[in-house]
Amino acid sequence: MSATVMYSGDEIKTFIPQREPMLMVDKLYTCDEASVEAGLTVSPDNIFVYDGGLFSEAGMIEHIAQSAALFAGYNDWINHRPIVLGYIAEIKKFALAATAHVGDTLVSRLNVVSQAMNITLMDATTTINGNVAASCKIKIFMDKKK
Amino acid sequence: MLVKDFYTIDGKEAQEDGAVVYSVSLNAAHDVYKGHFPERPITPGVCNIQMIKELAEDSCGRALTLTAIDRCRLTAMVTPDGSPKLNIKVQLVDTKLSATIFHEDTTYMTLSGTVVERRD
Repeated sequence: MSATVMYSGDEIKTFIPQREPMLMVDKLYTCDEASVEAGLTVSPDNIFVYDGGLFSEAGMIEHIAQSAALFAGYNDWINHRPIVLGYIAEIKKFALAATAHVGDTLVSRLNVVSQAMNITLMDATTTINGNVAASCKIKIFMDKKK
Repeated sequence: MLVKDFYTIDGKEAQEDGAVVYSVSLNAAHDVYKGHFPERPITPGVCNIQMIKELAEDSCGRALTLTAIDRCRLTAMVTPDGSPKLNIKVQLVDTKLSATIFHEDTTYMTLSGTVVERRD
């Protein structure tokens, strides 16, 4: 379980171009050249929350994708490169082990599998209170021409 | 619809193979585009996934959760200005869902996965 938060809330906006109501990361725990750990506490006004408090798996996937964006954006930022837009190119082997609800904090750990040109492939595992909630392989396309 | 007013269903047509092809219009004025991205509206891939799930729900009359995605490929970018009209073909066979988002000659997304009945 991640202990310390490096950046949170509005500070996250330094590293990624997404904004409300599509912002699905609110904590950056760790980030290096090969991995990232990011979090999201599901608020009642999150647009992917159903009446009753269930967080849609689409929201969970967006949280994973934005964790990947945070990985790219943080590494660009520390290397004084501009932050670019990134898009999901492919999702494979997504498995939902547990659903999330309002008040839960999702923690996603992503490791780089391969990087080539503008495409980064990452392996993602999302936990809630230390228990696996979801996993997938996600391919992100970084639009470097912006 | 989870993300309120994100799209409207203009029509649906059942196919002989059991699939249903929907016609939808995207709402370019939706708040989602204020954040994805400021000054460059692009329909989030996960909103397309959510839309596929909701149309699958419409086709079978049950609330669903997507518990697995074998593969989801985004082959062209959906934008509310450039591609406001979309067709979505959904096919449910038992718990297996396959779907394609397309319009005219362009395929935007393909998805294959597994759904179960949604529990809150």
